[in-house]
Amino acid sequence: MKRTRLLSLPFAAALALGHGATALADDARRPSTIAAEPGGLDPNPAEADPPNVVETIEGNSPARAPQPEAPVAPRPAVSEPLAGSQRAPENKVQEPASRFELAGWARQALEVGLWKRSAGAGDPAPDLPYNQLVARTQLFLRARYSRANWFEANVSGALSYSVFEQQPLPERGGFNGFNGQRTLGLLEPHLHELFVGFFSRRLDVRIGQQRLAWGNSDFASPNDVMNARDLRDPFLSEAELRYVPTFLLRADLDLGFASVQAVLEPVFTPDRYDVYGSNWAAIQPDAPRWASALVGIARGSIDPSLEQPAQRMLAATRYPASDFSQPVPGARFSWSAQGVDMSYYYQYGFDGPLVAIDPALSGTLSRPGAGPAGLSDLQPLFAAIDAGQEPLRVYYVRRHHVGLDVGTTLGQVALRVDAAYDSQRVFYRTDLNSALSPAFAGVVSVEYQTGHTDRQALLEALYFRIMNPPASRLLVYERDTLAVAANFRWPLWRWFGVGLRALAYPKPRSLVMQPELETKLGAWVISVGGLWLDGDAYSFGRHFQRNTEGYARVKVLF
Amino acid sequence: MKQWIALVLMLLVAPSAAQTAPPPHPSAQAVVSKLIDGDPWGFGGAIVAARATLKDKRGATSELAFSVRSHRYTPQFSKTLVRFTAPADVAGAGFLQIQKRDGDDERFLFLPELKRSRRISGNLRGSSFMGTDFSFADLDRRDLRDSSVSALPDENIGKFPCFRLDIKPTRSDSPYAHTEIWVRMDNYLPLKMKMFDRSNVLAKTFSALEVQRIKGQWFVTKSSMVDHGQEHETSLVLESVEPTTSITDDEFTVRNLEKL
Repeated sequence: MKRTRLLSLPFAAALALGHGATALADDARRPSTIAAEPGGLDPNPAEADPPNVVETIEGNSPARAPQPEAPVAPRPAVSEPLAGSQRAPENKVQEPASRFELAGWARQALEVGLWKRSAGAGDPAPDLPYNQLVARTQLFLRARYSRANWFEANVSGALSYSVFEQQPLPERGGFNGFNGQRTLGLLEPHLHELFVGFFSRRLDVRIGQQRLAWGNSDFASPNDVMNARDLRDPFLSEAELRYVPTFLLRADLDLGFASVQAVLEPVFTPDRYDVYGSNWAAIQPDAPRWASALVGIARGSIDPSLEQPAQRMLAATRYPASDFSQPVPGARFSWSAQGVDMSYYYQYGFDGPLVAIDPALSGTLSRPGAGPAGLSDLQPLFAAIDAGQEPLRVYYVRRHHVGLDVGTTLGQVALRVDAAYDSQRVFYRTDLNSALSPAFAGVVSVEYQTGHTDRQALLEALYFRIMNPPASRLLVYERDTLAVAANFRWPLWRWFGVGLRALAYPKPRSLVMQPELETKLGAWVISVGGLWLDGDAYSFGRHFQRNTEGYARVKVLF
Repeated sequence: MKQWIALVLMLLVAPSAAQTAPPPHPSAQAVVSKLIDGDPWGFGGAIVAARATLKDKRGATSELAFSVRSHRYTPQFSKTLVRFTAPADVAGAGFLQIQKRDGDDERFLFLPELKRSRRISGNLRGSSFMGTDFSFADLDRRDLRDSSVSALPDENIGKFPCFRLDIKPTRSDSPYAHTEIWVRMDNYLPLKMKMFDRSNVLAKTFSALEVQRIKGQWFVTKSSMVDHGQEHETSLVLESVEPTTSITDDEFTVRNLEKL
């Protein structure tokens, strides 16, 4: 019995030391026994899971310049005498079954027009109002609800209030901010997106008013044709408001090696633009006399408060049918290989509006030496309409769109190519009558990437070719038109950064530049900048030259 | 009797001596292999919610919050989907990374205001991960895979004995000339790293402040990265970690990036 005790002691000690105490004392000294549970996945976690443990690593704070703040601690860390470890509460992490997110921004912008009429030339278009001061207050909200991985609902909208103050009469001298001819306020509630999505492993379906971005390019994206554009403030508006989400039925199918997207827009939605009355309206001072005469008649006949609603009536005399008989189908096929992404696009949609005015009517409206046109000058127009004719037609034309984009990266440079062919595309002659032609558009983008979202250096070369150009001169375009666009944004010092957007056409010569200074203070972004446009007659820069201005913006994100 | 006493003494002493004898010290390369097998930040097969607090030398702070779904699709290589929830200017943005055995990793960024996903350069390893002091190189651990390693004398971090290694990356795109790393002996987690830039100047220091074993796996749940040149610090807290093998390979697509 005594022997047994003596013999059992060392075995007991060995048992205690080898299988219990040593592990407690410091399992770190036994790497070979712990090797089964480094960070890699345990092959049989259910069987072999040891209890969860929290350990603090004391005395491991590096010498550092910024003094440490109390770190965000979701759970108090516990240290234990021997190994600094303690059984942790069971980790309850699970993805939420449902999630609701609300985000948005508010923005206040002030734009002061700097466009000067040439001395002694008089007002080239006395009937065309020019807004010398524009103040915009905007609120944008975006809400998203998602349930697990199979459902989401999105809604977003903007509420904006704009004040437009027109330039003063010439006899009142220079603009001082208060002496404008008239001031107009415009309240615009706008439902942006409203759609639901149903997702499965291979198939996603989205139904509703939504934005669908096709193509790769930044400045001009020739394949981005599924949504209408808002052309009423193309340079200073927020990026997410430059396209108008439209009602779409969309399905995305993952084939494994590629993906296919099918889209149907049951009712065509045209671009949003002003015909006259605003600085980015289609009719500008270089418009033909018939157009400014027509504007004069409209302004004389319509109460100023109704001018904005009247824009839609003036934008087209005939829209594509809204009874689902003229839907817009589209499809995209995308694949990636060896670091190269490719997408092919097809859409059977509309282009326009195509403007065709009866020469007799335009002649009547632009009689040389005549004074401002009045309703009596439109008698021939009314007579023609009574006779079943259409002396002024503004409508949309069907066209096929095919395109592709390719994207890849080389070192720190991203290369993208977009190319598109339209079987019919509407161009505008200098007399604002339209010309139709098949057209090709190509964009090559080179972007230097830094990994910082607030740093951007992008250069794009744009090329347009009009296959069957008309004999008469076109507005903005020639048979072959080249353009170069740049987008540069870089932080300079602390919160301050600079930005420059530019668009240059060598022929017809045209230049648009938008330098900007920006400062970020937390969620606040304050920008001060200018927009400058110039160019040869009938170029983009000359046509919209009245938008030369200085601006200031304050935006808060939430 | 003397024989008995000797036998008893031998039996008492022998197991104890055997127990206290240090186990064979693994080679530096073996430690690196274990380190690579690990997943200290939950980017290799887990669902993680994380928050990074960035602090500059003037003490100004900002926060970045994000969630991560990841999947280790082949040993040492993983696919990661990151979704940012704060601050407001990146909320809703998504990031997809697919590590490649050969060539650069594939990375895509989704920006909700543009509704567009774009391939971004996989050659930005030295660049900051969304403005934090962690670079892509710090997180992808390619410098461990493609490196020459030498052992330095073991050293404790706090009370934890650590292997200490000096790692010299062999990749030309590594931002570092070499990295000193302290690897905890029992679970092979990196508790401290000192990264030296190409001029052999101490560029950054990583310090693990809290580690957790969750479902049998070890994670660095609180850590700090200090950029000495910029005098900038990022505190990274993994607020929740769920190791899982249920995330499938086909989840890591641009299609899914756009509906995060």
